[in-house]
Amino acid sequence: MNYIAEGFAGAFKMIVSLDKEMIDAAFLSVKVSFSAIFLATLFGVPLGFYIGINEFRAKKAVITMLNTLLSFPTVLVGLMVYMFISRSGPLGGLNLLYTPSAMVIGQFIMALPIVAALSLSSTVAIDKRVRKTAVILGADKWQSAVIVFKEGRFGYMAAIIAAFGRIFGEVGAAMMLGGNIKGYTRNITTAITLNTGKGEFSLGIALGIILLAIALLINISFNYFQNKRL
Amino acid sequence: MEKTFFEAKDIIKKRGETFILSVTRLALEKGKIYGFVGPNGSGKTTLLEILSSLSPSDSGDLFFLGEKIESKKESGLSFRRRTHFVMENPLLFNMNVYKNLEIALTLRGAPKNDRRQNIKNALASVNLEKFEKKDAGKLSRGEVKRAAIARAFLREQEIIFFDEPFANIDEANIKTLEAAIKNVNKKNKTTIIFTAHNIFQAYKLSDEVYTIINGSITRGALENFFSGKREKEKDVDFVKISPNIKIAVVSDSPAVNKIAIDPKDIIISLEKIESSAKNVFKGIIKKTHLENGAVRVYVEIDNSIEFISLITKSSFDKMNLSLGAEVYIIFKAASVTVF
Repeated sequence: MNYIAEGFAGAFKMIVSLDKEMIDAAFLSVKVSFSAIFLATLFGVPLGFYIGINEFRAKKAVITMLNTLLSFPTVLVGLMVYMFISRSGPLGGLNLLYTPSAMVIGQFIMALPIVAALSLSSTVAIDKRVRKTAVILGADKWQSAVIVFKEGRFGYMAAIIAAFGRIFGEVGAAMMLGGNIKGYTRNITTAITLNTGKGEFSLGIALGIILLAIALLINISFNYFQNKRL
Repeated sequence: MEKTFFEAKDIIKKRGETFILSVTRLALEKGKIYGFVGPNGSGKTTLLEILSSLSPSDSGDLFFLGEKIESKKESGLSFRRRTHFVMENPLLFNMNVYKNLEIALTLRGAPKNDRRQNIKNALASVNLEKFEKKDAGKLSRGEVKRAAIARAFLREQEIIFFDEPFANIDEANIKTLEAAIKNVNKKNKTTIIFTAHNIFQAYKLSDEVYTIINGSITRGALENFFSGKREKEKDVDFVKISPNIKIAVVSDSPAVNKIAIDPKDIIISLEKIESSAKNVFKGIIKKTHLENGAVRVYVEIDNSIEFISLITKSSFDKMNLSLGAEVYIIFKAASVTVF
């Protein structure tokens, strides 16, 4: 049973010595997931907000669809994107397969419905009196939309963080679309998968610690902003 | 001819097939305080929201200084920026009290330099001067309400609409609030339109009281309010309010059976005169009450039902009326409001 203790000891050594393979994987994870979450926020928050404040006939259907997309399996996202960007697929000419960009696309597709659906429910949950008060105070259509949006700001942040948590720890699509190429598309989760298979636990544990540390950092800063009531 | 300050014409609001508001004409003057009294669910809030152009009516028109106001259009927006509405359960945004007031000034394009003093004065008028820095989320319900009222006092408004301003406010602050409302009304000639379910509150504060029941408005409080059975006789509609008293009304709908008559519309005569008025009853003066140059005369009919008539002091004296005198009360079927 010594290998567990050895695994942890090796992991700490790697973290302290800033092991190259570990750092590369961690940086790639951060780079890919931040790019994906940035894009998902750009599209998802306005989408959820727009659906939330407007009344239209297909609203219920759209909400149901978004909620269904929440449980989209990551390997299925991997498969769909793979089909599109593989050499013989419609976007094959772009040579995206097995690049970090392909991983960004996959994670973006996973994050978008989460950000949109949670932003939507935050928007719907905003007190109806917020808009009414804005109108009373003399806000025009745009100004009242901005006021409503501001009142929902913590909900949108929470939506972004929930989506980030999902894609940051995701392995299926990253593996299928990135290909787990060392030093190029190997991120935290694919590296953990590979090394566990090989029976080398140290790198896996080190990367696991880093992954959790990053997640912790993000949540702490979220809490900080929330308490400051920006 | 001078334009009416604020006028509502043929306002109708329905929910499904039922009328929740139906106002033929309401003309309000600048600088007066109007109280609308009615039970819960009578349409007070709906009326206030339509008058303040917060929500549109199904049909009918609003005019402010002769200009038509449409809720969804530019005229509605600019009207809202010259007036203010305080909800029964108002809301403050998720920021401190000072910022909550400031945003109201920003949205209305108030000049930057006198904002601070403005906000301080408004908060002081509702006893909230120490709450500037406090987060809205940490205020009690009554404090939120007072802050929202302070928001209405920030600038000189043409009209301030208050929906149940005294609900959820403790006794001590009711006095402050009454004084503040009266002060704004006097100082800026701001017209005040408020609702209350407490009739005494309404009388205490307002120049004119209107009653609203089932979405219909009558001038005055619920005086001469009766209910009874509908009857039809020789093409005349009646409401039978007691075994011996039938009141002629004008109403096509057989469902309505509540009536009210404005005391101003009831004439007192010493003899049974011939006139076009369908309602003539003999009674005895039971009580009189002098108020602002007019006399409120309580006449009992058929030893059971009391009607109130409001006549001028001079006619009262000229007719030599006194307690116990036998008189006739006369009013037209058309002056009976039906609900």
